[in-house]
Amino acid sequence: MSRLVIFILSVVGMAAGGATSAAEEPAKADTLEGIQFFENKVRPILVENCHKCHGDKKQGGTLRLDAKSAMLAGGESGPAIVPGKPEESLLIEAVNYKSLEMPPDRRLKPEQIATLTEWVKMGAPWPAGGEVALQPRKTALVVTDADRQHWSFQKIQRPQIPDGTGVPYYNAVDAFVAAALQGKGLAPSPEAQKRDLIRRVFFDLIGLPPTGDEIVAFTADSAPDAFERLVERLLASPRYGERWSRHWLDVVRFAQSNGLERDDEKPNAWRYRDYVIRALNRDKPYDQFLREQLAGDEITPLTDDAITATAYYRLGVWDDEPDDGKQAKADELDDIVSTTSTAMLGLTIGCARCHDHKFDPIAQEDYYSLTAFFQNIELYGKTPDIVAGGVQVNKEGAFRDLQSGGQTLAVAEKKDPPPKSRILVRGSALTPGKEVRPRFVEVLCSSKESMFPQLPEDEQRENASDKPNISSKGRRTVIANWIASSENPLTPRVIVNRLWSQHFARGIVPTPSDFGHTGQPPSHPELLDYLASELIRGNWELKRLHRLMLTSATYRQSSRVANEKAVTLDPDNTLLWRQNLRRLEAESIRDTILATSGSLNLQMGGRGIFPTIAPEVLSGQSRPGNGWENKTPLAEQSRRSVYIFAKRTLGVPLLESLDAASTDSSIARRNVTTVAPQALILLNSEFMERQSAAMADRVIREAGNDPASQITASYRLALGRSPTSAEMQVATAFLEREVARWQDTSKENLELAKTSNDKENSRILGWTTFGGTWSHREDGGVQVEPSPGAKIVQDDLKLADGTVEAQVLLMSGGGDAGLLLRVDNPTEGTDALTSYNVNLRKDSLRLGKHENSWRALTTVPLKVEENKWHELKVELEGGRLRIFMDGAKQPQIDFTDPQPLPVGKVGFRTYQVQAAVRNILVTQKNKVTRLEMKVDKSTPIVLEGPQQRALAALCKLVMNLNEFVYVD
Amino acid sequence: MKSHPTTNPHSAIRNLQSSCPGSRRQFLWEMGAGFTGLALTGMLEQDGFFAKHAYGAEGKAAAGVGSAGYVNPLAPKLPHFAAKAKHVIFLFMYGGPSSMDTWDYKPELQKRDGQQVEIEIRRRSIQKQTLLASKRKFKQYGQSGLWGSDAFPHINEHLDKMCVLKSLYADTFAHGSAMIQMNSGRIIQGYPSMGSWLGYGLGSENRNLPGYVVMLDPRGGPISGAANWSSGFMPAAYQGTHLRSKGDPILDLSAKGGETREMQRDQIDTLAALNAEHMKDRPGYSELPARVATYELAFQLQSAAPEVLDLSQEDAKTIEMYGINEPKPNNHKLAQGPAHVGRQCLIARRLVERGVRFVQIYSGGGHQQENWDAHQGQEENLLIHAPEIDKPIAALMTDLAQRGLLEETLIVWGGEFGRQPVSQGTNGGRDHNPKGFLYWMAGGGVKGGISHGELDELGHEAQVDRHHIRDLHATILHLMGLDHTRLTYFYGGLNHKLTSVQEANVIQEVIA
Repeated sequence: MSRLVIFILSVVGMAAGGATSAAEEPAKADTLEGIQFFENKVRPILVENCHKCHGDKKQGGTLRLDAKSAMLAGGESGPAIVPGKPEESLLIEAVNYKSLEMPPDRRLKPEQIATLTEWVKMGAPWPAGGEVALQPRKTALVVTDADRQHWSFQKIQRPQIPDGTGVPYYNAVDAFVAAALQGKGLAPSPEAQKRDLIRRVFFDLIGLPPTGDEIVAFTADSAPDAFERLVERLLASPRYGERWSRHWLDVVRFAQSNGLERDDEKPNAWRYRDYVIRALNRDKPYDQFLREQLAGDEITPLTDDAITATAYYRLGVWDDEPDDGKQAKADELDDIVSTTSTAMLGLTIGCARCHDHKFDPIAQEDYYSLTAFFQNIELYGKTPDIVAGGVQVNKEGAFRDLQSGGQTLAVAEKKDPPPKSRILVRGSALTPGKEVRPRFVEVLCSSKESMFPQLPEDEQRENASDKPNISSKGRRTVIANWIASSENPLTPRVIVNRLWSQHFARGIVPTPSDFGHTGQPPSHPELLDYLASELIRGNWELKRLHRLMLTSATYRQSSRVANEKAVTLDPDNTLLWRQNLRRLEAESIRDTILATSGSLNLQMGGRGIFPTIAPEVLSGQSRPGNGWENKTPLAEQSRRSVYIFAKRTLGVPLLESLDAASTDSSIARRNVTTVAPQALILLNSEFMERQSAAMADRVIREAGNDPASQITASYRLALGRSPTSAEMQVATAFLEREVARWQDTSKENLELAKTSNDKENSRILGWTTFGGTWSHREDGGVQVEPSPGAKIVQDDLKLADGTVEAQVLLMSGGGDAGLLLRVDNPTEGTDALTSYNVNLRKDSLRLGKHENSWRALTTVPLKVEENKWHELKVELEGGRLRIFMDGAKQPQIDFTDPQPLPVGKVGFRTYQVQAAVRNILVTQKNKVTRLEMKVDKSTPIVLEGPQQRALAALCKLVMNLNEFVYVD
Repeated sequence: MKSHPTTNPHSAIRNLQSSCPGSRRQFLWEMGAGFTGLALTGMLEQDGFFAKHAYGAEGKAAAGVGSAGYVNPLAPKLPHFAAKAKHVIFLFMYGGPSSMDTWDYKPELQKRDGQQVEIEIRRRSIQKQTLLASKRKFKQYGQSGLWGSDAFPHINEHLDKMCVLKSLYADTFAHGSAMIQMNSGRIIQGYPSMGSWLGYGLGSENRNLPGYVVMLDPRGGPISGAANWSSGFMPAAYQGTHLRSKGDPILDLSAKGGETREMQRDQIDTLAALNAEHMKDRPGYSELPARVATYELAFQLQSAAPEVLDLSQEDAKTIEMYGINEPKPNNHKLAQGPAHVGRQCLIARRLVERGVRFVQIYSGGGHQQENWDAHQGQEENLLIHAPEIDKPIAALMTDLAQRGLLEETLIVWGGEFGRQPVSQGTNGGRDHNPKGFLYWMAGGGVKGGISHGELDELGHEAQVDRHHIRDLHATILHLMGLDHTRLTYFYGGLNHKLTSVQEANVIQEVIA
């Protein structure tokens, strides 16, 4: 498929008239001595260090350093040298890393800098004749009328609706589509079967399947408006916002963590996700939705929603340990500008960061002028002690109190007057160039005047005598109003195309975030404009647009028709001669599995859930399990996928393998790949095992034990229909074979199957176990069976100094059981951890140290009664540990470790003994924390016997069918 | 389109299975013909199917348009020009090994041990620090006379095969961004890693194994974990697969509930039969049979992956050579000895034998002395880590060379940056240094026994024939038959490259 690219050559003006002032100037310095100095000392430095980027091949910052005239003429930042005046020469400043920093990757040696300085001081001698008459390349992008003619930069015009007579016609959409088809001699396909239609619209609008009963009811509903009523019902469902928020969250690369090494949580980022869901469910006008995200903090009266929306600015990847602070800030701003322009305007303005856009008429100046609107935002991770406009700025960004209580992540404008905005030459923060002021993108403005908006600060500037009080407040309102304007040719087109591309599996513009020259042109330009004008006419309400698209005959077409002529003429189905079959998105597949098994939990909102991720996946982290909390009960893990905690360096494998969006940059369309690891996860993962068992259990409840009824029920639950006779035959035979095999299978194997399925091992919420079989006791304790080194470690609390108290019970086995203090890097294995261990055995109280090995530090012989709770208290202070047992006044152990372990977690470990622990209290700085050990009460379903096992296998197969993951 | 078979196809499965080895495919072929006609039959012409779709990733998969055809993102593709190497084994020394204690002998540094110098320790932070000479003894080896420190007696024996690049530099002093840059060319998370680029550019030669395999250290993953082998904005099909030597080698490879292989076989066949019903009246959607095929591939993977890991097929001498049976040493609590990396290197050889494109082995995991991040003592760090890799990597070179595989396999050794020539802390540690560090390569079309580029005399900064790591990336792609300026992926309005927008050059001097 060839990408239709129109190259607009940026106008490269090689300035004519090469005569330069330098050549005319009598060069006093050009004595023989001077020339020799230049040739022997200066030129080698220039050749070695400068010419690669500032020579004949490349002219970084439009500067050349291979000719004196070029040096005098300078580049974007001005002349490079002022002969005789090193202190005024940019070159000397740059090599001293003062304003610019050159060469960027390596500073010159002091003696080299001295040489250059001396040379400038001498008047910059340069041999005559050897100079090529050259001028630095002056790049100036001039926006021409031809540029403005690009289709997406045109004003949106409401087109004439073509004559729709003689075509299947529900609304104007059909007339546009039919007209295009007729142009090729094609006709639309007939309406889809009702079952296909209801499944399609359910998945499209709410991302969940209809139940069998809903399908039956709809199929039986012969009223002419049956489909319209169905659409209304789904648009009104809270599930709608959950499904459609995901699309917007992809576009704004939403995540709840910063990425990179530490990948820490962005506190309260989830409020933004909930805001998006709420906004969509309430059908907040799209222009308002954008204004709130861009400048909600400047809207009066301030609402919680508006302030929460501005967390938009805080969603990106953030490096908490940048190599270069200045550049990191520029990168952060770039992330905001690039995301805003692709998400809202469908323009890749970010491409003009280092140079004028190569294909679109967008100058580097456009980029930096746009960036200037956001210039005075307090960047994420800044640590000033300012409180600007009621916004608290802390270590990790800005937070704001909500009227409804709690805090949200939000944007904050700096209180200081806005700094000058400058073009950064080649995108480098170290090479600031020309000053720019906030203005709009030129090619999108009809005149020069309309490019330059009145800024609130302009008025202040005119009136205020006290300049330092000028604030940049209101700048973002200006840009927000320009973007969210019905006059903006891009914004309305881009959003209606996003909706369309989800409903038809292909956009009218197939590149939904690129309406420029590198994108593809619209297949139905008039339809696009019609939809955009409908959006504006309808107060920017998105549900109205969904309604228009969904109730069209075009949407309702069958996807299953074979039309050889159409396949030949339009193999990609660009003209929509049929609906497109499409695979469900990752989240929908997971949610549908949960709905089918009966486990789906529809609780909405909040910080999110942490579905269990297999330890072998966590082992890929440098601190396995870090940032993935092990405390979501199974029942809550069955919530919709949109509520899964969005962590940048760790994804849920099921979703990742099915092409869930990357959270690092804006995603307009999901990839759809079909590869073997997807099959492995859908057949063999613990999640599927659990859901298959739950579904089998549900089938038995609904259909009893008759295999034929079970098969019918499985099909109805998973696919909303009964099996055909052929399917019944295949499934029946499968069940028979499967039952026979389970009966044949050795007892041992069945046993294995049972234990792995029943999980006698309790999950203790908020704790992670490493080896051993753990169960929860009625007395609130947690018990473990004898094993060679079973550990349980609390997930959150970190302890350096303080007091830890607990009760420990030795039962049988003769080994030891004890508290773990300052635990680091625990994994499965006898001594696989770093920690202190204060333990009891029948004959002693011991303090020891694990460093992936075990070393007893001190042992006190004493009798420890079995089957009796013993109280242990440990006071830690640096390397000193004082240990008191059973309420002793004096410590039984008082030991100082010369090489104390650093801060770490708290846990419990046993070695070859049945034992238990309870009532763990930690006191740090007078604050007492009780480490609760609550069991996950949501018990997974346990299957027994060959029939049930076989049925579960069938259930799993049904959820793996193509029909389960593809929508007609 | 034929009608449904009236008999249960599964009785036929067993008969065919027992009769001849090729019967599985043949059965599916026949069943496909019976159930869905051409689509499935065509699909099951195994290699034919994938070859047909060899236009691959640049087409539909990238655009995500699925209406008119399935595209296998991993279909083999031709390189831009004749490749010197077919496989890469990237031995990633996570944490950043030093150059002056390994293969870059710096007599001036040795002489000036203990002297004070001004040195850039973090970006633009120039501090007065004390030079720390290497405690290692250096010697020249082989015909080439390349220098090697006594930390790696076994690898040094191969110096005549190795090309030591001594003048690399990168852009960041921090692990997080440096790891990401070494893997993806950018200091910002979200770009495809090198293995993804190779998978995208060349596809996979072995359908039954992943084309991009990552193996980790038992002490943990590297900083930022899976972000290091991410496919960024490319489809997930290009991301690295974490291959484990314990338990399930690939995530969810085997059934959890005690299902036998026979049961799984039956499940996949039954699934194909049921899917065939669905495909009947959905003409022209090649993604449907393609998805059925992935279940067959998954089943093959279940035997192919454990087979790669089954080292019982190797003779005792080989096992011995890689150091696989050596016990954990007791000279340091963190030391693992060579057994783990030995196993991984041998598995790497077995992977490339089977056509896997890119294998990355991480030596070192977790934090500080658990990996090559020698803040807390350079000597102690070498004591822990050098023996872990020395025998295994030497064995890998010997083994590949013996089998004639070294010519087509490029071995790359190095970390995310190097270390400073000055002392840190109380135990003779060394801090991060992205300004100058070494990598070495062997096999796969690079010259053996050469040294290229130089740091300054103290080993701090690349000085002669300096190469940004972009050049290293361009060189690796070049050796694999790809032109780094032409291997592009369109995303967000830009044709992205592994070497990003800045100029990069193949290091011609090292190419044989």
